[in-house]
Amino acid sequence: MGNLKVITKGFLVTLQDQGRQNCQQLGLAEAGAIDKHAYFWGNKLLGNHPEVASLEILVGNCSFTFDTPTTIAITGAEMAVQLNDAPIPNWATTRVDRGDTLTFGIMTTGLRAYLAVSGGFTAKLFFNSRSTMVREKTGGIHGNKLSSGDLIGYSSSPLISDHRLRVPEKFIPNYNTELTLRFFRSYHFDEFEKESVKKCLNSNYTVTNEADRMGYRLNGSQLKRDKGNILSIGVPCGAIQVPTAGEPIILLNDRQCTGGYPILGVIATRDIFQLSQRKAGDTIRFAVAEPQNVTQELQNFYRFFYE
Amino acid sequence: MAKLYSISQVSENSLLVKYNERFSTHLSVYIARCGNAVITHFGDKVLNTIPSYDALLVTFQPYLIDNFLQEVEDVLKPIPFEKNVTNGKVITIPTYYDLEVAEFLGEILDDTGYDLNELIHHHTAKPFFVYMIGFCPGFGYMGELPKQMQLPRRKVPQLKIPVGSVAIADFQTAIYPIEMPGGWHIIGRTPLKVFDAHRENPSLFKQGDLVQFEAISRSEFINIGGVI
Repeated sequence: MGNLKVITKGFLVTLQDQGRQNCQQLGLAEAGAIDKHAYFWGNKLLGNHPEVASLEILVGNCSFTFDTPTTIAITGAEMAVQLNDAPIPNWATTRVDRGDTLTFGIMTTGLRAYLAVSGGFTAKLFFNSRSTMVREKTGGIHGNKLSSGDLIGYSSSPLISDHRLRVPEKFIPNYNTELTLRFFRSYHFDEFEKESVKKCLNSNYTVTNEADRMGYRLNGSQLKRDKGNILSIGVPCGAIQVPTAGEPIILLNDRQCTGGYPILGVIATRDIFQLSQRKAGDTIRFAVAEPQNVTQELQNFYRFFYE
Repeated sequence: MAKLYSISQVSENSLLVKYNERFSTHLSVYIARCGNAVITHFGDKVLNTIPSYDALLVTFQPYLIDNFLQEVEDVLKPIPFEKNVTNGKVITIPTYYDLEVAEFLGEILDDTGYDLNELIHHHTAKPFFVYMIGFCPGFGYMGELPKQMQLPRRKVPQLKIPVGSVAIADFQTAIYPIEMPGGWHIIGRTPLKVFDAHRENPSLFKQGDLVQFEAISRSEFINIGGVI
């Protein structure tokens, strides 16, 4: 058993994995890594099971030390990571030794980086997951974001090769492109005024400052719906919730389990991963998804990491 | 005869069962039964189920995506929809109703046309049925409020609603178990911890129970451990 020690805590560093199971009927959130593309790649590089826990690092500016040799992988946002003052590559594995210090700078592209370790970080299971849910004060190592001085255990599995493994170029996303979110027309889609939906599909939205693991509030063309209130209903990750003021909120992993505002549809899962790397001021657009294609795409994505 | 429910795919790995029946205590119990049947049948293939007033959301493990729609249909078919349902236990929730713990109480009184005593009277006159748990841990959706107390949600949700806040929206009332953003109207605060993940029974009440609110004074609120 090794321990990772938090030296500088950064803005929001949390233990995350695939998310929780069978907890939502109690009102507990799903939680879990938001950008599973980056999260799964970290584990794949290390030969880990896809669902072992990693650290999700928002924005950066944090540092850690290791007390036992192991191999790590860094994926996701670019944060100019250094090992003992020497730069190390993103989307790649790195060997670390006892006493090494790993430092993340402020992100230059994207928003969330993942730090995976050979064998995964350890914590008590809560609803089949080690994910942290800060608002609920549940999961992770103490139900909270990491603080300076915290120790997080990792299993010292046999060291994998000295050779550095990298994610092939074609699988590394560009977080600076204009993002189009494809969505399933579902829930209350047919109840929105056609003109306002048309406008929504033909205009740009901006990510506001109110964007976190719970949801992204967007600024842009208003969606209108004249029917009365709806009954609170279960909402999946990626649901496009439209409060009375008409500007959409995209619900993410730490979302409430049920919502009382009407829903335009649900964002395709792989587009949610991309969205989670966008920040306040970034532009996004909406497009209607082709359900069969998007479902097939996600099936292929999961097969790639689970088989 | 109209179908009792319809099932549709709402995301790659989620199905929504929508019931074509007005919400009621017996529909609520029936939906819970449907949810349990899905979990029993599919086991670990199910990631999560969320029963609500008139719907059941079923999310499958994304790495097992398959065309589960017909199979869910077959699981639900034999479950009888019964109209005689017995209520669960009655839980009393002491509540301090005051502007001090409910910033917008004045507006709420204006909008309902009640004075504070009338509002308290109508909120404590009879126990409310817990229709569903959702939104956040231990958040029980209870009802029904009298017509005059029914206000639409706030146009823009509040970013921070304090723990224990007792709120109303439409025909429903609820208690915020943790600090959350939310669009409901706050009318008071309870000193009780309605949800604690580390307790043996994390939630004070569950779907099917009855909740009786009881007005308390400021000093009673503080004595029970309430924080202003």
